[in-house]
Amino acid sequence: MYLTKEEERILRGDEGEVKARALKVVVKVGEIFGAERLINVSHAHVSGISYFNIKKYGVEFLEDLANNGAKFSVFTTANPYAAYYLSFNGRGFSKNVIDNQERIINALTSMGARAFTCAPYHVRRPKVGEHIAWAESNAVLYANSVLGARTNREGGPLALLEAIVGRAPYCGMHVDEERYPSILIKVPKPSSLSEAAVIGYLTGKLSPSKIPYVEGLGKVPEEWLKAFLAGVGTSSSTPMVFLEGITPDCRRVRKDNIQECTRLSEDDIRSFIKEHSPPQEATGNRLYVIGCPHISKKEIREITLYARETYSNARNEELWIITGCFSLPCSKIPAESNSKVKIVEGVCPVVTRLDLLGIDEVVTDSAKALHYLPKLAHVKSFLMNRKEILKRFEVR
Amino acid sequence: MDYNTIDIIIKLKVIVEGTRQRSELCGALEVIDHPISFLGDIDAESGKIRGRDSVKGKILLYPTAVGSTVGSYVIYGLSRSGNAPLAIVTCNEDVVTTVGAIIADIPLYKLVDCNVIKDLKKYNGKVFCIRDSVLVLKVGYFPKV
Repeated sequence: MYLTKEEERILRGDEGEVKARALKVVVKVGEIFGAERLINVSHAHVSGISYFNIKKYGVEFLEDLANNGAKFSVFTTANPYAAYYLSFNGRGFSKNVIDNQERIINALTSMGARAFTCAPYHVRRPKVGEHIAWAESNAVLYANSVLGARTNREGGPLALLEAIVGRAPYCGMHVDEERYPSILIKVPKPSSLSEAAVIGYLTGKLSPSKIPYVEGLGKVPEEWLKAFLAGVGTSSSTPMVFLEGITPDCRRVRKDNIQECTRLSEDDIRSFIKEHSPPQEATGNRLYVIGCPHISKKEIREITLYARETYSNARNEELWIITGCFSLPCSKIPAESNSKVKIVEGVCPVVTRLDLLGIDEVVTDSAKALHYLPKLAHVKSFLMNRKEILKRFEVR
Repeated sequence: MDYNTIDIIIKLKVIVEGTRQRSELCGALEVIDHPISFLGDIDAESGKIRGRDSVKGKILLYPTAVGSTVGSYVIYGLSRSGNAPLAIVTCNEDVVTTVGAIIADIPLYKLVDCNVIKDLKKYNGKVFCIRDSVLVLKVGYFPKV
């Protein structure tokens, strides 16, 4: 691989051992993918933040970097952490979980992380053509498909090391020639945010590894696009979707050249929604979650406008509305809070062992959360329209 | 029964050189013939692979790593807990293994011919050595086939 003089200096250790080690990893990964060189990135986004995912050795790795003086050399945001400070019906997490999650947050903050959210595009919106290094699939898909920025689907540790060196391998989504759709998918127009999420999830299933060109979504609010792309990223490894009339790159491609074509029917969507609808009565402790991906300031205004006086009659039910922590220090609501509706920032319930809080099932408006909750949070999951969830808690 | 001396020589390509340079790496071969997901399949604390023994001190061979990129931290964890394999040999260069091997300082090699994995399966547990980019069977007395 071609390296600049400065990169060679860094590899030699002139800017410290930590930076040399980080660059060594980035170069090696670049060689694997056949990158001819590296490219400077303007924004890195790191994933793998929950203690439940990275465990003891992830904590040690982050602290080792931080203690050896590692600093992010570009604007860097990080994924949300586990909902370690929250409680359900008064039950919270052990001291061990709280301590370790705080160690992770402290290590990242000391290296220069600016925000904790899975929607970094709400913190800093990259411009068309801007090269960035993002992990977190929904963010990668949003950056490439809606903003026209350029990033591969980086892994958590890799994005962390790219943040330290401010560079990423110049390959994949950074290169014009790789940004081409190879399957055309016709979809029905969604009538709600959750429906957009389901259409995304089913679109991803039709294209598990190819870049799709999606026709039929129409002009929908950005929040719906976010839900749609989070769905795609759950069932597909594609880093990008060509959204007709939205994706800046659409100008460069001709859809008549796409060989493969398929469609998603209204029936597929209806039956998926029906299959995942919750039973009317909860079978145990039930949590409702809105905010996967994190909701925007605009969405939170829409919700909180009506949320001042909220309550639920159901004893074993709570609603968590999740948004990003956009400026440090992140706020925390006290664990002993017994409010039935909690508006919280910086956390992700999906990467939290909710079973340890005594939660049995989660109802969400997100197709992504629906998919990952049983695997990562160890709870049953169901899908419900956002409006219906809010209605249940008299948040209208 | 007739016995023959068989030299098994498998060509490798170096992906990550460990920083602790040694002329020869010898250890039991642990062959896994399907892709593995480090997050979930391997316990960093004990070094145990789901349903199998520990990878400690072995030459770990698998086709590719799949699943969460947090898997790289599991490889790092193996090294921190003192259960690191001696070397990792894979078929496909994947990001999870590569990042993990560098941060854990474990030598990583790629099989030049991926098809040999299924042949190597019958040598699971036998001691092999890696020397000058080749994987060789340490002692070579085997029943004549």
